[in-house]
Amino acid sequence: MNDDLHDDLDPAEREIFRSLAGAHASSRASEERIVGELKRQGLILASGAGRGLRWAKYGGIAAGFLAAFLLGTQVGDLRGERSAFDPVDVPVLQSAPDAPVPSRQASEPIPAEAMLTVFHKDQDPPMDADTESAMDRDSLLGKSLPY
Amino acid sequence: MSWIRGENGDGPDDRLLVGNFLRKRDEKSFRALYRRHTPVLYHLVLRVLRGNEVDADDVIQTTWIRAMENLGGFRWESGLRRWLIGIAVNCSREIIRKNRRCATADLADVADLHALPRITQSVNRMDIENAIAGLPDGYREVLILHDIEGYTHGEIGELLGIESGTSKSQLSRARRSVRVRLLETGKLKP
Repeated sequence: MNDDLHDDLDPAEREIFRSLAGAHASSRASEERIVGELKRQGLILASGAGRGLRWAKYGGIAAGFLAAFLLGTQVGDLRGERSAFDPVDVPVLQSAPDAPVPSRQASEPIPAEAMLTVFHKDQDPPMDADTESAMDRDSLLGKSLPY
Repeated sequence: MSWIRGENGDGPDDRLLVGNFLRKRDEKSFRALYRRHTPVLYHLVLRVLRGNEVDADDVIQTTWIRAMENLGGFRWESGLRRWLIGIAVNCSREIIRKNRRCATADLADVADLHALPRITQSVNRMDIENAIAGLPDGYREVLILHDIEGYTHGEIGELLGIESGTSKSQLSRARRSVRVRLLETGKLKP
């Protein structure tokens, strides 16, 4: 541990000095005095205080929730106001009195003539002559239609 | 859990105790730390303060209070004991400055250390303690930390806030002064 390169102490002297090192117990009164002072300054918590603090912490959280709930409901009620815990009023969607009534219910089948109308050739967009003739040719050759 | 291990203050138990203390601020962890380190601290402080027990008690109390206040910021770059010794030496210096009782005689140039007789076993412990107690403050601190407590000059430099070269020169002068004092009191034969 000694880093002297040019130590001018001979081994016997060094031994004498090192022999002075020793653990002398300090007084018990000193320990009690220091513990008392540390407690007074709040650096040491009194026995059970630590556990108490932990309980207080978790108890405090629970109490906070409870208080928020009670304040949210009862104070609001006392003041005649809606509290944050009341359900939100969702407006119910209703038909306007003059809205047109659907002529057919969703479960009713679509009439056949209406289906024919939908797929009537006259309602398709006009087809140019080349495309039409190509389709006729493919049809004669047994090829599938392009759709 | 072992509450006794870690005699030199650098063992893992110090970390365990400090961790417990910081978490719970409990008396048990503090008392374990106190009982482990205070005997060495007290003895060192007593020497630095020339055997004044009342001042030494005050320094120990201040040391522990400061240590507990700042324990959360201790980064374990050194052992806990070394950190505590640094605080204790600083507290001792404050007391010395306040009391203005220190000897100021500079015995640096009295004689060449090698020309002085060696301290032998014929000199008893109390004579050496008295000679050390009579040293100027700077000499005494370095001699106690180096020759008695076994710290290196580098460590002493960190503890006292001085260069390691200063620590070496202070030590050489301190040893010379001890020999001269022992000679002057007739405890050491020329």
